[in-house]
Amino acid sequence: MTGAQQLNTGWCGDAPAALRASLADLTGPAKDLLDEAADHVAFVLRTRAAGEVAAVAVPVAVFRALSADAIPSGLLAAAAATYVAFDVLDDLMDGDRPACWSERRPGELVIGTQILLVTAAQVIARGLPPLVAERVSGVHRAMLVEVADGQLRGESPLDIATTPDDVGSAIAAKSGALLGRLAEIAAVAAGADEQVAAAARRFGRNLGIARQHVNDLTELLGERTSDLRNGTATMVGAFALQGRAVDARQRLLDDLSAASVDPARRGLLRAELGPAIGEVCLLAQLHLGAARSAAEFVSGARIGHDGLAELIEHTAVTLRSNHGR
Amino acid sequence: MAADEDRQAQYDQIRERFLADPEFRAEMRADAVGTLTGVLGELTEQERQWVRELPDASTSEEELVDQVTTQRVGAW
Repeated sequence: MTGAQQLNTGWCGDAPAALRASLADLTGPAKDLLDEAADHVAFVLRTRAAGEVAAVAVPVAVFRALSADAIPSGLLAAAAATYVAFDVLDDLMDGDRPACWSERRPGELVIGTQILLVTAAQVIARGLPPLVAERVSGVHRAMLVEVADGQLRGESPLDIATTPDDVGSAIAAKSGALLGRLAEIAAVAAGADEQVAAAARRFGRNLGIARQHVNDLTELLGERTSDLRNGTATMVGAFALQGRAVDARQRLLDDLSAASVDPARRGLLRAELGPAIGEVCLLAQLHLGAARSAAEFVSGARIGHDGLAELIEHTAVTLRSNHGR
Repeated sequence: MAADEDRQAQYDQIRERFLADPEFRAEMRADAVGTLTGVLGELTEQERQWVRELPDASTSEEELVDQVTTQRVGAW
C-alpha cells in the first residue's frame, strides 16, 4: 500500500460523522449552525487532498503510524472541530470571507467557533484511559494557549523594526503549535512514550511552519492580496527588510502597501523580492528536513510508506526544484 | 539524548543562524548541500534525497520564484 492510500483510507468520512455525533445534543438555531460546520468538513474532505486539511490529517497519520487500533472518535471529532474553528477565526482576523458559514453574520461565526472549540476540549480525550486522557487534555489546553498567542502576535503588522525572528516566533506559535500539539496528542492517544510523543510534536511543528511559509509565498506570488492588504508580517518581508537601511525599509513598506491594490506594482515587487523569496524557499525546506527527521523517528522502518511522508511531500512538491530530479 | 533530539538541535542551530545572519543565508543559497553537510555532518539516506533537490548557485532567483507553485497547501 502506498503512502497516499494509507492517508486517504477510511477516516475522511469518519471525521465529519464523529463531529456530528459530538454535537448531537444541540437543538434549534445552534444545531443548524453546527450542522453546517459538519457539512463543510465533509465537503472539504471529500473534494480536497487530505494533506490540505492538516489539522485532521496530521493526527490521523501520527495515530496510524503508531497504532493498529481504530482512531478514537473523540480525537477525530476534536480535530475536525479545531480545523473549522481556526480556519474561520483566521479568516475573520484577516478580514476574509470564510469558506464555512460564508452567508452567516460575524456574531454567528464567533458563537459557532466557540461551540466548536468547547466541544473539541470536551471530546478529545473521550474513551482514553484516565492517565492518558489527563495528558491529552493538558496538551490540548497548551495548544489553545500557544495558538492564541501566535494569532495575537500575528496581528502586529510588518514595520521597519520587524525581524525574521519576530516572524518565525509568531508562525511557530500559531501554525507550528497547532499541528505540533495535535500530532503530540495523537501520539499520546496511541500509547507512545514521551520520546516518541516529543518527536511527533516536532514533526507537526516543523510541517506546520513550512506550510505557513509556503502559503505566504503562494499568496505573494498568486492573486490573493490579504497579506499585503493587512500588512501581515511574513518572512519574505522580514528577510527583505533585514538587509536594508532604515529609509529603504520605509520605502519597501510603502511599496508593499501600494502593491495590495496595484497588480503592476505587485509584479515589480515580486522581482525585487526575488532573493528573499529564494531564502524563504530554503527555510521551508529546512523545516521539512527537520519534519522528515522527526517522522523517521516516529515511523521507524515504515517511513515513506505511511501518511507522515505523504504529508511532507504534499508541501515539498510545491518547492521542488527541477534541478537534481 | 535520543538521536532524533540531537538531530533536531542541529536543525534548530541552522535555522537560528539562517534567520539571524544574511551572510549565512547567502552561503546557503550558494551551496546548500555543502553548508548543511558542514553543520549536520554525515547525512542520512533520506536527508541525501531531499538535499539533492535543493537549488544551488546555478539556479537563478527568477527560476526559484517560478518554481514555487501558487497553489495553497491548505491553511490549517
